[in-house]
Amino acid sequence: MKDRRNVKNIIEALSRHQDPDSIRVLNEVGTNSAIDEVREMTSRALVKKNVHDALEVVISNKGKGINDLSTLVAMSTINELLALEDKTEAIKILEDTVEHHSEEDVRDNARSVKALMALSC
Amino acid sequence: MANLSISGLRERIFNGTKHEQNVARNSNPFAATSFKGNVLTADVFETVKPSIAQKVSSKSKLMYSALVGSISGIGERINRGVESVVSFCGRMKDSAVGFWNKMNDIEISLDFANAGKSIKSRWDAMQDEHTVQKYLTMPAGKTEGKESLESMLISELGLNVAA
Repeated sequence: MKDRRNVKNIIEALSRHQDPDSIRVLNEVGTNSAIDEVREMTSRALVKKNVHDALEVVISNKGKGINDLSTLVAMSTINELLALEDKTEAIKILEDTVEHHSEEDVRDNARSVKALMALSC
Repeated sequence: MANLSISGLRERIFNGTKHEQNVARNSNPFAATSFKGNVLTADVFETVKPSIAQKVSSKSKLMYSALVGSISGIGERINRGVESVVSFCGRMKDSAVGFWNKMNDIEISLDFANAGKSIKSRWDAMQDEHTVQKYLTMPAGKTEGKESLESMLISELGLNVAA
């Protein structure tokens, strides 16, 4: 297995970066990676940012974050969401997704995660 | 009463000087000169007064008894000291044996392999944090003439993304 130590460090730096462009980089490069491990790290980094644009990527996008085809990636993202100290923004996006998203799968996932978030609060 | 001795009578008879008493009491005929005029006043007829003798004797007895007692006391103290040394050594021995028994009871295992792994993981975490801090000073998106996190990530993942 390839050592992705430097990839991890770059993603960690992007998660802490104050530049909003870091969200775009994570979205375009990280979440589109063919490697599950990289997508998992990217999704968690986006959740850690705990800002609207970053959370929207992992909640409302089909095939990314909680909607990823990989169970590992989806569950890791959900865990990270549950670990947030301030869940206000995440719950708000989940509610918007449940109500307005066009894809039923995405709405169902958002509803489930929202229920978990409510239980964990 | 004691002046009835022969020598004492002879001295009294033949010595008629005014210092009779003093000379007569001195058993040494050269005492007047040998002691440079200091005449001894000890009575040769009465060697020692009984009371004094008794006192001296009793004093000596006391002294000797005290000395003997002190010697025997020293012996006891020495004995006690020896005993204390023996008991001290005994205690030390018991302590040492107890310590040894305790050491035998305690199972000490040094897991060098896990310790090494732990140290390495901590070292790696420290190195990673240092690297992240360095990356935070770099631009997130692609920037002309500067290395960015985006280009680095693309390079690390081996992606062929056009700049």
